[in-house]
Amino acid sequence: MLPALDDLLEGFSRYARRRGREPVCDAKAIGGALREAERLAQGNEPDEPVALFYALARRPRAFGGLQGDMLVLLAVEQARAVDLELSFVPVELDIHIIRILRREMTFLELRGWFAARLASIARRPWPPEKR
Amino acid sequence: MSKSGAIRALPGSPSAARDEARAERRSKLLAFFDDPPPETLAAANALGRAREHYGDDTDRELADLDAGRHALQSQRSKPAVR
Repeated sequence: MLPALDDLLEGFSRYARRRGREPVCDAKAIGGALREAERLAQGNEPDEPVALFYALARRPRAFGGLQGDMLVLLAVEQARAVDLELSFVPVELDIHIIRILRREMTFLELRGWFAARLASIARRPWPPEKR
Repeated sequence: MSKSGAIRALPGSPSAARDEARAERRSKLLAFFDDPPPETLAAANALGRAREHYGDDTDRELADLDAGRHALQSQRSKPAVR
């Protein structure tokens, strides 16, 4: 399940504050990205991380100065939400973002890349239980 | 409708299940953003700095990647983030 817009905005706001930044974002663009991600994933949960990443990368000002941070965090978080783990090297994700911005990468191509790097994880609590 | 005026889904109904799933999703999301895993946070910060630095200037960013002087390339030899 993709996050609801309000919840996503609250998560962003908390993250921005943690970074000492103003939580400046374009809620309309983020809402549009969530709707596009829903369409792209077509109800297939393992495709939700890539769908969210692709849809948000196409809206480079959605999260203001924290756009890059949020693309990584949301791809990883969405994978965890569907019990998957994304393995990546940051520069690879950055090159994907560049290619998406330049309209040189399709969703299908990116979906293949993600599929090769998503692995099932055993269900475990996050954050870890405190002892 | 409850005395408070709030509309609640009947327990066991499809909308109650939806509400419950959404609450669980919200809880996971906020817990993650309150305390992201350190390796993921480091990767997010590094990529965030690159995006802020280059913005829409993808030509310059690609040129720096080709020349091996992009800041994220120094992370290439590190193990993948999981």
